[in-house]
Amino acid sequence: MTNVRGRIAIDVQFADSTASGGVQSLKTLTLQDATEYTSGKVAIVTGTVGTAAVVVQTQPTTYKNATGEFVSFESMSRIAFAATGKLCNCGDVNEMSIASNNGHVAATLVNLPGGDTFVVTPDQPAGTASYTLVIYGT
Amino acid sequence: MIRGRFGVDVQFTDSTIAGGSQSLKTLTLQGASEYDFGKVALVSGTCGTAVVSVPVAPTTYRDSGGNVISFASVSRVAFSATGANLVACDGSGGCGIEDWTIYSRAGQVAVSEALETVAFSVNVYGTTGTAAYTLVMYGS
Repeated sequence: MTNVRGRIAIDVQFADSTASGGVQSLKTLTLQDATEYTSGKVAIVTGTVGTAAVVVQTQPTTYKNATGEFVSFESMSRIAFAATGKLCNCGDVNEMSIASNNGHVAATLVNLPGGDTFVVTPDQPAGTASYTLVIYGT
Repeated sequence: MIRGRFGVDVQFTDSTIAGGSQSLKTLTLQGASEYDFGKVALVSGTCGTAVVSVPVAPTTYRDSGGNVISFASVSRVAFSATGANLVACDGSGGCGIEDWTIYSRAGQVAVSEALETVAFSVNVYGTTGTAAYTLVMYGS
């Protein structure tokens, strides 16, 4: 049995300024969240995708935990996904789908049972992309 | 003029102790992007199970000059919703082959690339509940 601890932090901040007639106006936009996790399961799966979609299994995953056992999820609650090379989607069999390109990390909550798979789909058929998917759950 | 960033930091440690020996694995996925041009807008509101449309051309957000922001295309979003129910944010234009949908609840932020030119749809996922949402859009 392993002890999982971690955090997912998202920090979006923008400053929007305008100078006119010697007066400067400033608006700031902020959206932030940091969640700590002290239990559960986590797995990281990496791979490449070319012209066809790639299926990522979750029961079990291909990731081995600190004890050397494959991580297998009973439920999944949050994922983070990053792709480089070309725009890629990461979706499930229902409706969830997030997209990444240029290494921009995408993240979303999910409410999925273990055994549901994720599908990494390229937006364009040409070329290849590398992807990383982090799955958190129980 | 806008300046800003999207930062995502995912870090986990996975440890075990057996026979007096500790094993540790670390998982990290991080990304931080700086932006010094483009357009940004923040739209907030409330929703129930019925879909609320959040248009992008124009939005309801006024920039520091008092001008309503209108996007030709939204390329990245951050979405947050309150409450215990999952709240969905859908893109009509979509990204790639599949419909694009991200989820939030309890203030946990979802972020994603996007290719939206029309409107996002926000609603509580399920059959009951209400939530307050915030959607930050970046694009051109």
